[in-house]
Amino acid sequence: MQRIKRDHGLTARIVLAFVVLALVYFVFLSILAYFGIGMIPLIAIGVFMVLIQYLISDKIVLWSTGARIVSREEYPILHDITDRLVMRIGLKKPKLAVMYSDIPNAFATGKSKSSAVVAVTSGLLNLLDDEELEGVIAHELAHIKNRDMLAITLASLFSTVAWYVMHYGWYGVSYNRRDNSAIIIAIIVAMITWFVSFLITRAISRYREYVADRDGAIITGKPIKLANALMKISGKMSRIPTRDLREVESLNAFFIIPAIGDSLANIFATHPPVEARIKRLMAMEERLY
Amino acid sequence: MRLRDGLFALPSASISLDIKLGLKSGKAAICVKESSGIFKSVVEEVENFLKISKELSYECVRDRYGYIWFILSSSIEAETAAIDAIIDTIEKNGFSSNILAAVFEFLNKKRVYLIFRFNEKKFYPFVLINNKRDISEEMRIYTLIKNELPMIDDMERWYPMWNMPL
Repeated sequence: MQRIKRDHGLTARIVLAFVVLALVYFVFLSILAYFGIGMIPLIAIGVFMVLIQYLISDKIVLWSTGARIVSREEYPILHDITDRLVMRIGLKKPKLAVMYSDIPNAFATGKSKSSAVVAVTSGLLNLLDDEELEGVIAHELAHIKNRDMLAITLASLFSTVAWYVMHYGWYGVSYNRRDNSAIIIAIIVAMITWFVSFLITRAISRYREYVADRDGAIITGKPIKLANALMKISGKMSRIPTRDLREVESLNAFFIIPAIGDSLANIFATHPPVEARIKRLMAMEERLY
Repeated sequence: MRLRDGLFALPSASISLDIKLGLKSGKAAICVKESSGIFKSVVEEVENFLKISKELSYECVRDRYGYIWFILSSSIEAETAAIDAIIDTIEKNGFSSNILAAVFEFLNKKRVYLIFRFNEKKFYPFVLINNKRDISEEMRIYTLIKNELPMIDDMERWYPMWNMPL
């Protein structure tokens, strides 16, 4: 699943869904082990469950976020924008979903190019104008076209497997007292594998985000509009002053601490993610002229 | 290097704005807070200087915020030079803290303003399309001229100036 920005609420719900699933697996496999099922069939069952989870992962994501597939009649503009973009890049049109949330966000999910879903929140639709929305949809379509969901899934497969080895390894320690040292080494290796693959997954996903920004901006030809959308989504747009310079200047005369100062965040000089993305998009815009 | 040098980079930057966006330079203005006392004679001195300048026409307007605007129409080179001379006159008389900004107008279908903050010696863009502010156009202008002009990078300090008399 690829989101347009970090959103802790949305992330929390999805993570919770998968954690609950993992707990269910754990309890289920523990019960099987309790009834004397051997290690090898246990692993086979575990792998099978992870596979099923992968196959229905998009449904889990849609269900846990409360996103609902919407028709053209309900959201004509959303469909029109998507139609134009998929035509331009030769991609099968994904299903479109809307989540009822005031927090502006969007994500793409799905295992393949042909079964993808792009979901947006109602907050996003209210906040952005059509060109900005086009930028965000193009960003999500770029994720689908680049098979980023698969890339991230494959990258995180290692960490998933390692995570299970860590868990059931401990389980092995308590029940299999004859050969504990080998299992402990396996657990340590699994821990290291998990940690490293976790870091790599995050690095890949950050990089894919930049690529989707770039490709999305190429598809629309309007990098500045995606930059604008990012500014609105991250709340930076609302920090651009609307009060007249002359009014602000006369107020400052009475304030001990001036309202204008260097303490405020400088979106072009600092480099946290959203700022860096906006900066790259603006550099793309510059090259258009 | 004088702090005001950024102002003199404007004529060449205006060529880029014309080539890249088809923006033609229009009027220019300097916006100064009115004061009592000898400030009146400073205004007179500025007006006398503007009267004898053959290559430009000017207007002097007071706005509802208590600022006085000297509005100039000429080539951008002549406007920049005249604004520099006005700043000199005001500074010489000890009123430099009254100078708020110089504003340069560029026109096509949009109204683009480059606002030169006097106390920072830097510019920022302000764009109106059908009397509505257009941030994305401001960002585009910023991006296109940031290598040619000293710009205020922090968008949280891009204060609008509504209903300017020019």
